[in-house]
Amino acid sequence: MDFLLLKFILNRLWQAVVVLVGVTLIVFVMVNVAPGDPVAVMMEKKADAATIERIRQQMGLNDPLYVQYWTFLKNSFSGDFGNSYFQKLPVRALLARGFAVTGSIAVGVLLFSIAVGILMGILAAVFRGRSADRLIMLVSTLGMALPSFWLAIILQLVFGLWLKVLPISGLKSFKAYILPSVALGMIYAASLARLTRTNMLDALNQDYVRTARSKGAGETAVVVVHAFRNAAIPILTYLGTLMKSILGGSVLVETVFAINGLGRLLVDGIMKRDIPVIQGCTIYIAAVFVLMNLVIDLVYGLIDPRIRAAKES
Amino acid sequence: MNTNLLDVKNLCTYFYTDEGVVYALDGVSFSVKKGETLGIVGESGSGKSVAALSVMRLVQTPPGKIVSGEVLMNGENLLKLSGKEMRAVRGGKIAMIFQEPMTALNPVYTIGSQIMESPRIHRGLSRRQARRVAIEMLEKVGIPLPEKRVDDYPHQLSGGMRQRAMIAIALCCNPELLICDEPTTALDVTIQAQILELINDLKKEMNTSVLMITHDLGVVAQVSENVLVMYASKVMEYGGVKEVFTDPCHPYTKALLESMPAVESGRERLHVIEGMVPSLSNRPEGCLFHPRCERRMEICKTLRPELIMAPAGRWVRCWLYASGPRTLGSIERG
Repeated sequence: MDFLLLKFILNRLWQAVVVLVGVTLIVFVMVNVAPGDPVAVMMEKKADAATIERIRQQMGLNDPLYVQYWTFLKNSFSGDFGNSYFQKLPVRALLARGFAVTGSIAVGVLLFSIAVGILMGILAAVFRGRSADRLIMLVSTLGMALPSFWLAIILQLVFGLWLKVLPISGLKSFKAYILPSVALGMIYAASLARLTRTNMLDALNQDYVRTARSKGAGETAVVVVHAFRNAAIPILTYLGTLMKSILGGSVLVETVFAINGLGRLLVDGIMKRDIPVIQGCTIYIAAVFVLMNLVIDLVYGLIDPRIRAAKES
Repeated sequence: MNTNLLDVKNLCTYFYTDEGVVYALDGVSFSVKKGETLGIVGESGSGKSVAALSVMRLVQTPPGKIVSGEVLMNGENLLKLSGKEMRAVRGGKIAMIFQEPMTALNPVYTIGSQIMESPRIHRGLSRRQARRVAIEMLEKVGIPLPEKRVDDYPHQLSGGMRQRAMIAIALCCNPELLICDEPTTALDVTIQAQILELINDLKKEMNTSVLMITHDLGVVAQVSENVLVMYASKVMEYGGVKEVFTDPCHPYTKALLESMPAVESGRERLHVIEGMVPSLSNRPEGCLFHPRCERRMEICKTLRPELIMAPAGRWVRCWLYASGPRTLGSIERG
């Protein structure tokens, strides 16, 4: 059994490598077919032709494309994406700095949307058709419709300026994480509430829930132990999607709260044609997607024994 | 002295839907003695499952509601209990087996942990003690290698094994009453016989009373002492199994028995009861069975008959026996 699980994981890891090589190829081709000379951009038109040529030679840009790609591939897999043209720092360091920020906000968003979204979804399902259900669904529709940057500004206004309880920018204290997490997490919490409600309603109508009640199980045990675990699979898929989008960073919200996360790193890179940064960010995001998919697949098996059995056979 | 374990009196359960009120159970009364098996038979939609769920107070509310009546267990009215007191009854004093062993077991938990739940709730056993009970119960219901099977998930068992596991769940707290809602309908014929035999054996061993709900007259004949024939939310005939099956009083019971295939009869075609069970939200005037009845009279079309004691010594709801009736009036609504 464990051997089969190991085989499954190795198989998926191998697939992940193939996907990532594909991503590096696409990134490399796109950067090379894009118009403009990276060295000219880097020198900001201050260098003469001879200097540009010398730097091109130094950077290996005159080598045949397949040699360039091979170097790029090797370096990518060791996490070396070169130096940023403008910040004069290794892209790896920039990514690490951005990830520290975006990752910690992602944790906040995840906690907020799970706590609020799943709880509200369960409550709505348990009180289906009653006023609590209607109110939760109304608020969740609103939550899905509000743009996060707008919500961010309103939250700053209310909690930062008027009530003066939370900082409105930067990430200096624990409290500073609250507003960005809520602003970014609202839409996810709202979708999660709707998704949880639907799946919980389905689970609560199943025969095994009636069996649980016939055993004398309390209502909390029926809802949480018997129904929720069965409703959890689609919710988990959604959480994976959520993590994938959040770990890429959000430019708008990061800008509103003056946070230097991955979103701003990538967009600044694109604006300035900072090719190593663009390449590094793209490959990082692809890697996050591949990794999250793998994690979701593995957790499925933990929750549902039928999926585990299907994978092992 | 009252030796009845369960006395259901004039139970009415209605469902309030957008299309109107569905009278799923309308003035149903019956009783089960200690160690007795009572069969409830009827077609789909006759209200027999609702009767079981009403006794357990598991009717989904809304839209369903137990409107009136009493469910007395050892003299105590279950309908008056608080939610917490009722939970102590469910799985403890009354247990239930459902029709579909496929869906009635939770797919994401092991058989063992599903059996362990009741003893942990009702007998306050520790995890380890409950596990021992689970293994014992699996052995009792005839599942081979119980120490191994206890950690299996429902999808790893066959239909018959799942129903055995379901029985283990139901009986692990020694309930006084076991309600079986079509326990063999979803199973192969050979497995059906085994499961019925198992229920019967365990019933005798544990001195449990059984409420056997089924549409299969053969099952009732095999396991029960008394039978309740239901049609469109009401009791049509109620008496000893032998008497009812050999000499049915109600035209509906007769028709039901005639529509059963029998090897020795040599009939080429089975008897068919013309028409359909009436919609429970839009019931006919008079006797509920009169549109399909072969012996209907003028009175059947306008007046609803009471449940009366027929000369044959059992309860019948039919105008044919109305002369000199002894009605159940006080506990039965017309």
